[in-house]
Amino acid sequence: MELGRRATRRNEHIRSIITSIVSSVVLALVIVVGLKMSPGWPRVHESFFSGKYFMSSLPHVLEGLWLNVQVLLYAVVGVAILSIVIALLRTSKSAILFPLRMLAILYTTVMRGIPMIVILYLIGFGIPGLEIFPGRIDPAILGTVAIILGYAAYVAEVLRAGLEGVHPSQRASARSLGLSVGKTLRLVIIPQALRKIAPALMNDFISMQKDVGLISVLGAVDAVRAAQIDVAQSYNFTPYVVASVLFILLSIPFIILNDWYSDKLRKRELSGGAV
Amino acid sequence: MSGIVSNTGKSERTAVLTVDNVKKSYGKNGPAVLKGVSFEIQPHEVVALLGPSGSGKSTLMKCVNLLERVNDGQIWLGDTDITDPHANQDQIRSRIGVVFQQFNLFPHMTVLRNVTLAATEVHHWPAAKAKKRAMELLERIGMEQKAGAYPDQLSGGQQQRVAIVRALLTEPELLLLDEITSALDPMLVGEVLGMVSEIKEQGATILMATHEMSFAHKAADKVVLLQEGVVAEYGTPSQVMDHSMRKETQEFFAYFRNLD
Ligand SMILES: Nc1ncnc2c1ncn2[C@@H]1O[C@H](COP(=O)(O)OP(=O)(O)OP(=O)(O)O)[C@@H](O)[C@H]1O
Ligand SMILES: [Mg+2]
Repeated sequence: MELGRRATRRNEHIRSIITSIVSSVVLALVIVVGLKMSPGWPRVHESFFSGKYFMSSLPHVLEGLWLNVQVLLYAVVGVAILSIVIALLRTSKSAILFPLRMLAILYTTVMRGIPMIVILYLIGFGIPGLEIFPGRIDPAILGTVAIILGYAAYVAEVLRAGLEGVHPSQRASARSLGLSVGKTLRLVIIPQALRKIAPALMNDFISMQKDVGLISVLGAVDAVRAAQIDVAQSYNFTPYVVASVLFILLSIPFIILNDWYSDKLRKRELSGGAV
Repeated sequence: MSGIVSNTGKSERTAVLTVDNVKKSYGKNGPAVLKGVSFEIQPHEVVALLGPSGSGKSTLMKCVNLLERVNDGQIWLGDTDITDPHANQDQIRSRIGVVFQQFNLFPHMTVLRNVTLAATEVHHWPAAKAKKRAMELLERIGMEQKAGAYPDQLSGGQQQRVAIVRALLTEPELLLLDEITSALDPMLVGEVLGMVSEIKEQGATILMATHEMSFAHKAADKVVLLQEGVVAEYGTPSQVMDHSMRKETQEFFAYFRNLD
């Protein structure tokens, strides 16, 4: 009986694997054949997927991507600091901080309403216009500042939700042990909040990873801009595909990490455990 | 074998806790919850704080623990006036152990880390010393194997006993227990109350709010009955619970006797 059942289960498993392989192959064939049969395919193939242009623009775009990676790293640090400050202000109850709390609310509301590219233009052309800083400011720096200011508003709201999601009794419990306000936050509240919002934060990170490509609108020679320059010289669009491929490769590790972590959280929740 | 509670060292003659005419209401114009409460707890005494739901037992506990501010009156811990606005609140809190109704262990920390957190972060004990002491105490409640477990892997009774160990680790002068069994499955109440009896034997000074009348009768040295925001009765369990002449007191305890 039990043996028979096990065999059936194994058969079902093998059958489902075969089914999914077959259906994937069929779908791939349909797409490839469909593309190849379309009348404009040879032209599209030449201007977007040319092997020659791919190889010739790869070094330029890669070099540009290095700038994106640097901007991303600085932006992550900047967003982390600024968003924590904003979130703490927004969740604070103290009367002295009232004006700052209002400012934080205004900031998150306004910033989340402006498209990222407009923030880039405002910062990128507005700050040099103020003429506070002598000389020309590197557009990569202006771009980084704009991305920090824009994303900090989103991340601050995620953090706030996380902080407010930690039950107040946890704070009372920590304070009762004699922990200071700072240690209560650092050791008890923030770790629990982070655990809850890790998937949302990783999503923000992944979309930020893409949006660092927007600094090209300010003239910084990043991957997108490098691709644009090559395109302008050759009238072949393959360099954009190069940039896309590189951005995708950059994001894959984090997407996998995010999926893995969300999955883990869900499993723990299903098994009834608190996170 | 070392006890759960250390009762060496201090030979003060003053009360551990002095509550003097404490008044408390929530918010600016809220109704008065405590309308002038006074009593004392002597060293090694177990005082049961009884009273109907909403009579202000938890409020009083929170005032003692500085989670709430009194509006008027004073509370002394030993010879420190803890209601003095200039007092070092964190330092005072670290001298008092607290266990709440809900087992407020930190879910992201192991049992061992929960228990040693205050020792290392507040009292600045070396990690090794905190761990050694923690393992001794966990062993005494038969939970040394659970040191690496997370709170959600424990039963309610186990969690509550860990919470008591956490409150006791740094040998607080006073232990506040606020209805520590009322969220527990009836099957698990016994093990937690057993632990309270044990730490009483070892000389801890305890203020406990409870609805477990038979336990209060057995374990408490003194009973404070809070009604209508004042101390309606103060005395030994026998005086207050069995022999009071006051009608409201008799009615209150009769209600619980009918439940048993
Ligand atoms: N944070 C608060 N804000 C406003 N009112 C409160 C607050 N906490 C308690 N109260 C009120 O104060 C009164 C006393 O509450 P408290 O929790 O001290 O009673 P209790 O004696 O502990 O009751 P129980 O036996 O149900 O635990 C109640 O009327 C309650 O509604
Ligand atoms: Mg209560």
